[in-house]
Amino acid sequence: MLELKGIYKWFNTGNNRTFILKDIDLSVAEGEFISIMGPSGSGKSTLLNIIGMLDEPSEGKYTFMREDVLKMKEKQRSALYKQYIGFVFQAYHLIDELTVYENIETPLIYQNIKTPERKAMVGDILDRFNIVGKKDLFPTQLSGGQQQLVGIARALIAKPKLLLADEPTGNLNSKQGEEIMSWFSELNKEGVAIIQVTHSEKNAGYGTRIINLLDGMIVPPSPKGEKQLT
Amino acid sequence: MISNYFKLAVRNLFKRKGYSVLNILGLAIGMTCCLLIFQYVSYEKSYDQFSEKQKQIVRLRLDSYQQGVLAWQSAVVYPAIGPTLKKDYPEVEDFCRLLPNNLILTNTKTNVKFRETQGYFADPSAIKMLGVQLLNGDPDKALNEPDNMIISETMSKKYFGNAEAMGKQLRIPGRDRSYQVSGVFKDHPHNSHLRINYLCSYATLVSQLKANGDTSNRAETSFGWYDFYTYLQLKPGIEGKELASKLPAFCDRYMNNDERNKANNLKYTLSLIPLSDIHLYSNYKYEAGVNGNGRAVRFMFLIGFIIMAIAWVNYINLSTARSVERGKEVGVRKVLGAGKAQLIRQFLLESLLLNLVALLIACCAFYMLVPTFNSLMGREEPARFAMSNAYLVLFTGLFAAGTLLSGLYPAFVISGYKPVSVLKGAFKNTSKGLLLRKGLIIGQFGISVLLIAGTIIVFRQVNFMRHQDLGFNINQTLVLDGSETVSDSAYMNTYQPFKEELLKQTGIQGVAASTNVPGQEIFWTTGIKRMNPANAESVILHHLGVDYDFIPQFQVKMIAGRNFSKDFSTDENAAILNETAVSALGFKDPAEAMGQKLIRRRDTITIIGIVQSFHHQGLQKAIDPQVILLVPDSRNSYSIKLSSADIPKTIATVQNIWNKYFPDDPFNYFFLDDFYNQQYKADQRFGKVFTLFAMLAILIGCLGLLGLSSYNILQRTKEIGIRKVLGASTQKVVYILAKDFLVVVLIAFVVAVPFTWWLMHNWLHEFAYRINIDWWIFLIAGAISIAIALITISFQAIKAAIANPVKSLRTE
Repeated sequence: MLELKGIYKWFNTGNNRTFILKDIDLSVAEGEFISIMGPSGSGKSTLLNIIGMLDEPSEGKYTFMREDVLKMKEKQRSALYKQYIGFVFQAYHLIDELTVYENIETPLIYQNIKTPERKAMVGDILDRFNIVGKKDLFPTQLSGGQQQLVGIARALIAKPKLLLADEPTGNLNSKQGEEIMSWFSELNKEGVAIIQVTHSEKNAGYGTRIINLLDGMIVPPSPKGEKQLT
Repeated sequence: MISNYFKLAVRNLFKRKGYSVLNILGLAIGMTCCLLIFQYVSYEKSYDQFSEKQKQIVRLRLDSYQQGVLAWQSAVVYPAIGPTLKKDYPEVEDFCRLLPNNLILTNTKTNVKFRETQGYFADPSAIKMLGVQLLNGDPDKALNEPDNMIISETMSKKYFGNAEAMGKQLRIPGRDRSYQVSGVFKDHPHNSHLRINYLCSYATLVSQLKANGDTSNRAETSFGWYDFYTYLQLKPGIEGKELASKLPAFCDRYMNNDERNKANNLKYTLSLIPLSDIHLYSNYKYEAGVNGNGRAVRFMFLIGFIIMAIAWVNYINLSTARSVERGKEVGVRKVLGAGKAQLIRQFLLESLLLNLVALLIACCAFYMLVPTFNSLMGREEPARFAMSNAYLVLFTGLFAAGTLLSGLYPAFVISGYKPVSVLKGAFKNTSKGLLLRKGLIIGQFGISVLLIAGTIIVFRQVNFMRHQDLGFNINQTLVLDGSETVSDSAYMNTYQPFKEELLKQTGIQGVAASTNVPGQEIFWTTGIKRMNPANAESVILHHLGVDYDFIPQFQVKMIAGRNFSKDFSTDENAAILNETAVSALGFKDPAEAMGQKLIRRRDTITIIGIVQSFHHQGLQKAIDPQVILLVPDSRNSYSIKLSSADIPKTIATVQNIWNKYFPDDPFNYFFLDDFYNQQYKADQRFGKVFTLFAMLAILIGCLGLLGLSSYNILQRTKEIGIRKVLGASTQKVVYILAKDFLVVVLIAFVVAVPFTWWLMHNWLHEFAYRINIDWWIFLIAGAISIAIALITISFQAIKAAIANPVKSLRTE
């Protein structure tokens, strides 16, 4: 599905070059559930953002659905992104001025989908996540777990092939966190590839593969399953 | 999608109530001011534009040069000029002359009697040229015959009620003369430089002069009697310039080659002014009425633009300040697939909505305030709303452009945020737009300094004029319009007992007759020259005719010689000069002038006294060289000095006595100090309006500063938290926050001072007597601006400084 080759990301601070990512090679197949782990500052989020096309690497090659992402024009990339990728954030990032319904509907608006069709799609997903009764509430009226559920629903509304989640349970208590993770497993079984950044060993366990980052580099998996603590 | 944007925009407005109110209030105030001003400017510019034909009408002006120096510029010219121009130049299609002709008129049947002003002897062509709309009567014939007059609808109602006025007679009491009404016209519009209540046929003037022994037909042939407003109708396609270039030759031919003018080194020139420019740009001697002030109108127009600009600058400031808040939303939307164009459209729609709400409020406020504003501006029909299409279009264009421009910048800034930087960690705005924002604030506060300093200067000038020693005392003086109906031979025998009876009344300290009172423009002028040396050149002096009591009663200061006295029978040929006339005639000092002889027409007069120059007219005007002559039977004005006791009762007594001696004359009076101070009305009004808009502009500026400072503080919340943890006191934090803005305001001050000085220096130059622009005025204006800025900033700064740092330092 996607392949990263020799990805570097750095900042120039004065005369020094600070590396955030160093020579990352990674390929993800359709239907995979990957957890990226590592201490703070190891480059997890940057890697996720590069995969999600929100950020660009300083060097390297990125192929998504057999297309060279870095050589594409902004418009094409945006179209590709809209079609295949959904994003979930630690802080939910719902738009406070919009209701649950409208938040979920927004990506469809940007894909120029007509109103009746939008209604059906949003209705389906509300139903699926059991939040029909909350559709007219504003985000601030919801608990954290519910907000994140809306965030996931919004990320899935356009039927993406890849769901990117940046510490999706980071702001939730353990019970809410478990609920979210079980949703992820279910979605993964339906064929949605998931890449999540997490600090939690337990949450990482839901995935099919764990990638450990340290100082911007992928740590080769050790047979003993060495723990990387934050 | 639009409905979605719209919904979002509405919710945003309601969610951030504070910001919305600041924004909408600022914009609405700006738009209201702008609408009011445009409406005013539009009205002022609408003068004398009743018909297409009037674009081809110009009025003549006469300038006089004495010894090569410009002596005066007059709105009235000689009666022979119009016909001669028409005869000599094919460019001139027609002309019309107006000679002021104030009358006392009565309808003998009903015995209604009024003293009328704003009436003229007029050529028949005046009806068409000046746009007089006859409701009754034939425009081609109404003013052809002697003793015919046309009157306004209002006047017709006054004399004849609802009865038909056509063909009726209006008598001039005491004189064996009457006019026949040959036409009734629709009241002349207010937006004309001429107030016309009635027009009498020019033929009347000609026949009256003839009856009085005029053999030379002066009303048609005189090149010396300058009392006639003269308008020319130019042939279609001819521009005023073309004719104007031929006027110097005309003047040389008919006026400047005259023996007497040559001998006295007098030279005249003629100029043209388009009819529609008279109201705003003609401010010469002997205007038909008080004209507007083109400079003030232009200034107001500028203020309208400035206030509008300030409001939009605010909008830009406030909405970019809000961008931090909106940044997250933008980031999320971009992650959800929003393109930049879509976001820009969304923010533009928001700004349009905000502007429309403001516009709606502004329109309501405008309609409510129009009458008040117009009466503040001194409009005679304040309720009438007049905005020409041109100005409506201008405002609409301004609104559209302003909305777009002020919306575009924030839209671009906000939609330019990168989601990665917005959504993760502490979001800091770039300092990219900061310079622009600071520039905008400098502009706003510069204008504040300008307006505050301007207000102080305008008020000081008005105050200066009102409280300056005029050189005479006009307090407690009741002025009666003199008798016109008593025949010359019987006059002194009626006036003298009238005056004596008045003087017997308690509450009356003195009675003085004169040809003119202070505050009135002097129309009586004649060239006078010294007898010695023999080759002295003639100087035009303004004449004031007074009786024996005038100078002492008005407490005019004699600096040499004496007042007229009944003890000297020769005083009929005596003159009292003011100091200005003394130097105009070339005397070194008053002592040298005393006892000298002057030649006035065919008479020789002796200088018996010199008075200190007094301000016959307001301090806007320089003091003219003036000669005071003894005219005991002056019958224009009677000035009655009252003692303070029970003035209404005294007036009633005066009226009774008046009716006894002058039964045919209407009793009209005014208080001299009120009358005199009317000369300052326009300037006082200007001062008030200036203050009003200055305050509003500053208010809008403050709204913007409030928004910007709260934005700035929001940005520095963390810094403040750290400083407080490190032990900074509240005062110290407030100081740090306020410092940046004070620097900006100081820069604004430095930029504004020279510009303000230049602008106000120019304004003051319209006044012959004016204040100096003192340095402390700027100091005060600067101090006020800084104080206002400081207070505005402190609101937010203090709040931030006393906040608990723990809150601001928590990261997630």
